[in-house]
Amino acid sequence: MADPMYGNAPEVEEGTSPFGLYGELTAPTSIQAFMGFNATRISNTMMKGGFLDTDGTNRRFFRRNNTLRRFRGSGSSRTLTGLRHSDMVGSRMPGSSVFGGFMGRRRKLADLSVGHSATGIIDNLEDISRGLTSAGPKGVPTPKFRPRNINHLDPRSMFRLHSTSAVSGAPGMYSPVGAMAKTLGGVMQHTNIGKQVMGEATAFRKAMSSNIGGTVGRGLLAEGKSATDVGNMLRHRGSAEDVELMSGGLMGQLRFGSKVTKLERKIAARQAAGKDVTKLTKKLATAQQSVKDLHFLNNPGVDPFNTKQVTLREVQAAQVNARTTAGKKASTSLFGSPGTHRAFGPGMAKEAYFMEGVDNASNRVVNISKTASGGFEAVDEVSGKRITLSNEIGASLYGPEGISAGKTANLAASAHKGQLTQRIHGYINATMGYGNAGGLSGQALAGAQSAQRDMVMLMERMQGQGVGTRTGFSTRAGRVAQMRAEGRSLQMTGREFLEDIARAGADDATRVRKFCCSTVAVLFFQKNKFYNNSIHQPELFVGLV
Amino acid sequence: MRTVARTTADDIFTLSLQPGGGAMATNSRLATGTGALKPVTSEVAEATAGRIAGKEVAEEALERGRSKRL
Repeated sequence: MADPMYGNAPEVEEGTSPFGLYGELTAPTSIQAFMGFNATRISNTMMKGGFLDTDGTNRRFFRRNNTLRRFRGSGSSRTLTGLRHSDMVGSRMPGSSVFGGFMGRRRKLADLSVGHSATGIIDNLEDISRGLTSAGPKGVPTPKFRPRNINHLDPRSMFRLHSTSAVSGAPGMYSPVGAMAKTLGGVMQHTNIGKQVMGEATAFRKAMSSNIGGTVGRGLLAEGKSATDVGNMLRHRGSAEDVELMSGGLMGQLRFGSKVTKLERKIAARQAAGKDVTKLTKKLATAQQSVKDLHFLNNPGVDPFNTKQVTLREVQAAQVNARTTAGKKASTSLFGSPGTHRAFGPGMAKEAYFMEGVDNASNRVVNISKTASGGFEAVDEVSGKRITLSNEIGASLYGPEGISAGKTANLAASAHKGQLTQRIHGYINATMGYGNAGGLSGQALAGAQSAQRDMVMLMERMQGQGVGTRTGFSTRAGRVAQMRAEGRSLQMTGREFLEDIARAGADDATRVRKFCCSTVAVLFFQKNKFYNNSIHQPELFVGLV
Repeated sequence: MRTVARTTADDIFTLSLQPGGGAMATNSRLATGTGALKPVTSEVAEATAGRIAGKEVAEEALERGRSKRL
């Protein structure tokens, strides 16, 4: 049997985790040092607010090179400016790219456009994924490292590398990204995500047509997306849904995260000791401005520090959870058109809620924001309708306010353009213990939840192997007893409930009846048919009648 | 029927654990829940409570791990 900590990677159950953290550190090489250098530069830039440009031409290395600045103003009035098309396409500083020229990559990207055969597109995707950017014959790399010595928050430098592939353990990549994968022993190379995202010739396509990371990119091609759409996603041009899978700057932002979190913890400690934190708070504000700047590039007009994206289901769960009388039903029809309705809120006051539509509306995005008067409101992205939430419910969705260690790093994770990048960043933040620090939303939140599920699996595995956990942790059994003593109400979805029933030993229809039907009337349907023997079919539902 | 099935799989259920043992479940989604409380077998209640408790304990372990006070 494998070592539970460092041995063979466990099989990852579908729906439980996109990846696990396994591997070991090895000695770095110069390429890997370069990767660290680049990550440090990004993180320094974000911490210091993007003003580390050095004027190397005039040998004034500690002076800012104003000609390279991309931002004007400071603080909340800071805006992106002076960015021309030529800055974005790589012609301005031809000798300063990270590896190789841009032309080859651009040519391959251009080849993804309409009119090319599917095979050609996949070949080009493969080359791009492996950093083979040469304009020459297919498969000839141009591994020239030319670190740029500018340090501003230039979107071109932030989004150039798909550093998502660094943690995916992509084989055969000769690039800082590939080198980093080796540094980490292929952090995720044993896992589905690592195998699928950047693999052999057909792996990329396979990933696209199967399930990347549980929910991201699920069956993009299988769902009927054209190769052009997929190409658009990778070219950061935005598809019909404006979804991208991977964006760069992950390693740098991870490093930024640890720095800014350290700063937040320092502020908290000093505040607790009654010391002055003015200077540190100012420093934090600069770092947070960097996160905002990057976030604005992806989501113009949305202030990540004042908005939390949740799903409709989460809003309703919070509203249900706050009711004092369990199970009080709203007096509305079952399938109304999406809109706002009123239900009993905390203390039996009536509170508005969003009526779900008929088309899988529970995953619809709702933005929770804080109003100028200190209250909370929710805006449904689909209908644009807006309701006022009670402080109790608003605060529970919004997460901790003020300085919370890990929150800025989580917001950085949520600000990535790439959905898969968000997920990986959220996962890593949660493994470092900041899953509940607030600021996570979208795929970053989903990744963090995966990390927590993985932790459960790891602990179970360790216990199964006879590896004792240290005292000081709560045990699961102890926590269940505590829940029972407190008479807690536990929230779950119908599907989770169904899986719990299966876990309780009911793995076929007969046993389901044995366990449930005598005490709880549970009906299982698969489309129009009664439940047969397939408990994990997505169309199944459980109902209490 | 398909829509109903998908909606219902996403429904929000509340399991209320009772101090003396036993548990009650209800479909408590605002729009679709009937609000009826139904008793649940101890096996099912333990499975749900164990799953959620496991998650909480894991979160705690992750947070303690970060603060290096193991």
